[in-house]
Amino acid sequence: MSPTPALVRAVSIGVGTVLLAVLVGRTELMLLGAPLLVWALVAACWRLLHADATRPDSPRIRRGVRAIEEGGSTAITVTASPDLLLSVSVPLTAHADLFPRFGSATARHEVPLRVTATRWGMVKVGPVHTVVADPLGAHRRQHRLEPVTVQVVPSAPVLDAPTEVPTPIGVSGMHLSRRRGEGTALSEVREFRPGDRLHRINWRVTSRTGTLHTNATFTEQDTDVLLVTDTLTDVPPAPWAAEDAPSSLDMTIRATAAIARHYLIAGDRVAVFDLGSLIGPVRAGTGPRQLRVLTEVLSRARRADGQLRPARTLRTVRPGTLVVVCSPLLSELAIEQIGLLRVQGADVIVVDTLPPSIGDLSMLRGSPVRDGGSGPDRFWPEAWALRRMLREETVQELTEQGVPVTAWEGPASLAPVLLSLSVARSAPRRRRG
Amino acid sequence: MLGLTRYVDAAAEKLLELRTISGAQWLLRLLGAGTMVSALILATPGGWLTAGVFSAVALLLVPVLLLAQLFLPDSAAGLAAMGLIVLCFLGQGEVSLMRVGAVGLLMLVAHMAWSWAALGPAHGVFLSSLWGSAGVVLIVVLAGSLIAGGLVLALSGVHLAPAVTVVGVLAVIVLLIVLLPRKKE
Repeated sequence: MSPTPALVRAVSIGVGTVLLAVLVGRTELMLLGAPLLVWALVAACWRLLHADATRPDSPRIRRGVRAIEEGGSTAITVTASPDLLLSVSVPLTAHADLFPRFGSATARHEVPLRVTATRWGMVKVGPVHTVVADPLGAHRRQHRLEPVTVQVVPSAPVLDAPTEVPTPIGVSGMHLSRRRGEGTALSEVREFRPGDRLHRINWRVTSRTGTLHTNATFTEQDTDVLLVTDTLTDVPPAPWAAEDAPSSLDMTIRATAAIARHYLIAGDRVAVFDLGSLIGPVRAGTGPRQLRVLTEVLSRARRADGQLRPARTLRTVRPGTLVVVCSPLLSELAIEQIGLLRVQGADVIVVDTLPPSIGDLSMLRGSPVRDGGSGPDRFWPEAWALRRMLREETVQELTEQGVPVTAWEGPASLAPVLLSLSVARSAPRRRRG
Repeated sequence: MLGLTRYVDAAAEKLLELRTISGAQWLLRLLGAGTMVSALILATPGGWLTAGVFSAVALLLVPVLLLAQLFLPDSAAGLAAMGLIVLCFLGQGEVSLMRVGAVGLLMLVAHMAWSWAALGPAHGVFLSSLWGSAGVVLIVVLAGSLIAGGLVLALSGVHLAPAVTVVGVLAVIVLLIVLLPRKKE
């Protein structure tokens, strides 16, 4: 441990006044420096008595929970020798709140910090700057510890929507299909045929008609659900939006997590395909394990880091697959992808993840917006309003092609669309071509 | 007008940064500055009216040095301020032992406040475990200071031969060597 300027000050003044008192023969001057001299002597004695504590071991970091949900907290504790004072400082982190508020605290032996994540992703807390010192502050040593990474899983609200799908294409599951076979939903009561199961015989109808009749049922199937995420662009909310307003990428990730959870709970197979290569493909899977895999992959996605990534296109999809495309519908590639999926026979739903504050006509004032004073003023709201109006044409075209488009507004967003899809199941179908 | 607004905005931003300073840091730094100002007042009775050379210099420079020490508790400004206060007494004749002792204790309090303030950044908070440890250290140092002060008072009435001065200087040098700050790993 190195001596501090405080020790230099105490020794200089203490010894200096004693020397001055001896040289000029005025013992009362010793009273000026004696307290500082005592301070220095106490520091020297402490160092002799606590030789073990002054070893150059760096403080240790202990992290609490490794993965938290958005809005959740985890503790990070830095520990040094019990005899030492410990000061810890971490830089402020984007999308996370720290306690203490500015990320710095001093205590004896152990300093606890708490990180509360406000957005999904990998939150890096650090590097952690530490200073260990003796209780008087006469000697100290600095260390720089590696950052601690906390995984923040996107919040996945429970969707307030039915789980029916237009075309169940699996083997067995929860969705009612049109095919007759082993199931629980009654389709008709018909005459008994060889091969029918005996426990299905409807004895009431049989006794009334005098002929054996049996209950025929619809089969129940699961289905493939493919979530296509558009991470090609990340549109931030408008400057006048609330501080915690989500960007288009936030809305895309949260919608993907919520929809995946909704169908995985229903027992369907869910896969993810990312057009922007930010998330990476996730193969189809079912059950709680797939939900864990999906949320982990989504939380590991890094926000725009300036790196160029190649856009990807999904070439084929199994006909009848329910495809939910989460996109702000600004990229030509995303719109072409929707068309391609539709042509291949998938049942496509589009979830619009453009922030609602973008292109808000009520904010137009006819005057330019200051660009933070650093550049010329911009007609930014007007430009986005025009872009949104152009986008409305795209949305209308998609709707006319039979692709419902619904804005993401939380748990109730998909309910009307999924209800209309389940109604459309029973409607007469025409050949696509 | 736009230029004036820029300066006003910059000044306002600096003032707003003061809000990030923690309560503990405010307490320690203001305590250090306040006790040093008290020590300066006690060391220069009569103020400018009866100030000698050393006292006049101290009255001019110490407030400036304390201002620097407020922002940088680890700086050498505190050492210079204390040195100037000690020199004030050189220009004075017979001084009251109580006054000198009080100045010494005030400088000790300022020194300890600055040494703790220098442990962390200005926006850092101090947790309760630190105050307990600091309290114990303060009591030990104060007790030692009172004992040392009593010894000095007891020795102040003793008249020693001039040769003892040489022994005294040698003892001070030994003391300096013992306490000399060394980096130790």
